[in-house]
Amino acid sequence: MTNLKISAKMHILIIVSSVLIALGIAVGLICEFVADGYFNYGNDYKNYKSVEVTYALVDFPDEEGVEKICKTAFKDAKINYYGCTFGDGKIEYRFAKSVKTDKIQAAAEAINAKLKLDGKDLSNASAHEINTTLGGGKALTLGAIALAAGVAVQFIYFVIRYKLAMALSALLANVHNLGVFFALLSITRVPVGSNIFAFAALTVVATMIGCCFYFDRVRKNIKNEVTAKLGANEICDLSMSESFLSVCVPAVCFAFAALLMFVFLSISALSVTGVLSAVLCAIFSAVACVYGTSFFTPSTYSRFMKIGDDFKAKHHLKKPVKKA
Amino acid sequence: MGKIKSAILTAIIVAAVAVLAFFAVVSFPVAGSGGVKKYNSFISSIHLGSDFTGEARTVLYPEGVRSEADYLSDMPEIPQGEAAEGLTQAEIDEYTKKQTDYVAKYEKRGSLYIEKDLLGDSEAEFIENVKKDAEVLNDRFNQKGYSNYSVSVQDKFTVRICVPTNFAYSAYKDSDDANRTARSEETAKISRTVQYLTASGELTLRNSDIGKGNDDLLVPDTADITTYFKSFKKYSSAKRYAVKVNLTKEGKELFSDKTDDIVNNASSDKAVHFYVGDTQLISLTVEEAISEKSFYITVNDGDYADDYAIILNSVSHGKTLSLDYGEAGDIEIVYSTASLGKNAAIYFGVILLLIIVGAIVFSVVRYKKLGLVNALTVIIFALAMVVALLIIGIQLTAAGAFAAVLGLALLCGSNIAAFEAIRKETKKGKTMQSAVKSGYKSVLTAILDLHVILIIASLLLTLICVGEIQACGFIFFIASIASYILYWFTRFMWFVISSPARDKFKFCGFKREVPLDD
Repeated sequence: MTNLKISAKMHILIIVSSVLIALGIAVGLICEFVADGYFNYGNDYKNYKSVEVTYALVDFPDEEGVEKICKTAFKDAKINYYGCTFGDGKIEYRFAKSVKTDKIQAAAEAINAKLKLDGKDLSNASAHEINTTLGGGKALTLGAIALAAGVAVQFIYFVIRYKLAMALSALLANVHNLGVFFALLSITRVPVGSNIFAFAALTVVATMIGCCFYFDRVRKNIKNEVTAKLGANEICDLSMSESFLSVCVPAVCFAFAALLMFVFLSISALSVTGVLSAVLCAIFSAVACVYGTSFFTPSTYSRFMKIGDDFKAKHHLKKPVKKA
Repeated sequence: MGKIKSAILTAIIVAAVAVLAFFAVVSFPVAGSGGVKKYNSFISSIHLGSDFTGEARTVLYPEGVRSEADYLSDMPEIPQGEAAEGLTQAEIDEYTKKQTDYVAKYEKRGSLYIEKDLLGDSEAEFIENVKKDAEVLNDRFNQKGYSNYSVSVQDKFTVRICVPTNFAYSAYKDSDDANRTARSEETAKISRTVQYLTASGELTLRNSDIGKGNDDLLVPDTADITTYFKSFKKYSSAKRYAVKVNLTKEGKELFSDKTDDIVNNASSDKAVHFYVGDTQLISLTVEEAISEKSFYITVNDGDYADDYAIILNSVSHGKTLSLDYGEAGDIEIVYSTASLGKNAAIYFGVILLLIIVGAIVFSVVRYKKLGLVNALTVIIFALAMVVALLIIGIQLTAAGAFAAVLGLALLCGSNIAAFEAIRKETKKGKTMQSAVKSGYKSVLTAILDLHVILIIASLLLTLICVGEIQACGFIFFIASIASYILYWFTRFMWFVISSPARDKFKFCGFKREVPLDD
């Protein structure tokens, strides 16, 4: 870490982050006007299609027979569903909006024909188109407010707890990490729902924790007689190398826990698609935190430190010398 | 602390935790009830979100729009075979005409059958009205504070509503009598909520005596009733529930007049009944004229109060449904399995168990006897979370459980940070007592910082957000507080178990390294 001399390479990091965020905004805006939104909104917010199968228990005492018919029909129509629920004599298969309606309709008709064989006319399959764009407008607005409030409170807390320069760096780190997180979501088109703000909040929290570890180390190094003699860049790099593990551990733990959930819930749901988006959000959050807090924050803080030192030096020089 | 005192205290704490853990985890039939009654463990009584126990969904069909199943079942039949015997040709022709008229009345659109009158020129307007109604319904269900719900337009002509079932695992999975009752209580609540919140029509105030000859209406339907009410709010105090009605100046005058009229002139009906469309919601029993700006109407249940307040608030502000969706009793609610798979709750339980076991094994391997203290705090943390979820009644979703796991990571991280700081201090040559003291002191601010930050963040999510994020924020808030308390409990246990140790320089793998100048 120290050998890399991160602090001296702020321009490179700014270029990398700016390109990433700009790319995210560009992809988001293009999709906003051309496709289905800035982000790839998940089931909570986006249209989807479904095939609902109502089966009579008299004709089909167990749902496995119905499932088999449905799966064969979907295979023949060459369409894949991403979610399936059972209950009260009904099975619902959900399809992405992009799946062609005529294919879904054909599959529903094929299921219908098979269900109604041998005079079993109580069962029925129908295709539907569902518009779920109403769902979470309020949730998204309130999530955004909570996020902004979180960043503001963190800034105030850092001003009280540390120094203004550190608080500004932490604020910048938060904005940067959130920017990277949202850019990654926008570029990769991972389906997002209201959980986007849960993971964004996780990004803010992990950044706050990381900054705490980092600035604690910086403060100790500034107070240390030996390291205090180093320049701003060197202190920042040294502090980062010492606190790198502490900064990474929370973010990596979040990602690992998400991965564990992914494995088990994929087994439970017999499908990876339903769980994948949450896990990818957690991993993007971890990546944004580690990158932003470990590499971006030291380089920006070293600049703030230099500016502060220069200001102090100038201020000190201008002070009238008291006569003895 | 002496050796005996230490042993007794440790034994009491461990026994208490073991007993609590038993009741938290194990469900069993109550002895002497012949297997009819069942004790459900704390864990199986926690209300779960739709990702674990599925959702309840319904489709609202506006008048003139029918599902394929309804269309086919209501189609007039032409008698055939034995049923046709004895019928004249004219009668058979009449049956045929009825069926032909019925078929001609509808047009098939996808999986729906729609009356032809609604299509053509007025189709766009009808579709727009369905969309507007969906928005009104979305606004009403949004106020229920569900962890997850959706109101959507299905096939352009119908409205689909999905809400979490709120089942506990016992009600979701077990089919014995006791749990069947619990399940039916939840389904009854959902049915009632869906029926009330989807009520069509405008708000009317009725009294059968005073409104006689005017369809029982206290206020003529030409009057704008929205000008009388400021708001309806749920009110609860000491397990008593009510709907608080806040009136405008005009509303105050109206209620003063009408209640005075009821007190003096009504003979049998001494109440003001609040109706939405043809559905009667609540009644205000009038004993004396009301001259206040607000009053309370008592109801039996908190959920009832919530539903009444939401629907009355909505209609009193003019947010009524523009289409008629039929009788409230006609709504069919389907309960489906969990979206993450039928056994998602079990799989998730296994994940949580693995995480807890992992944390315990790691701490025991690394810190030996002291690791057992960490293990004890991990178990207490898990129990505290279970009890909190059960008592407060938070609906647990996958995201909420993830928040609880983060809280556990916070606790373990704090303890490990303290242990490592103590290890550093012992390496400096300090005695155990002194190393523990200075070790905890050295990480005091960092641990406090961490917890303060997380508590603030979770509190913000709880106070500002809605739905699942709010629930996650609240769970993490509880987890952060539990983590900090248990962090100091570990410090206390350190004192309890290290007091009787004979060697003051060697304990649980922490060994004093004698400085060279010694």
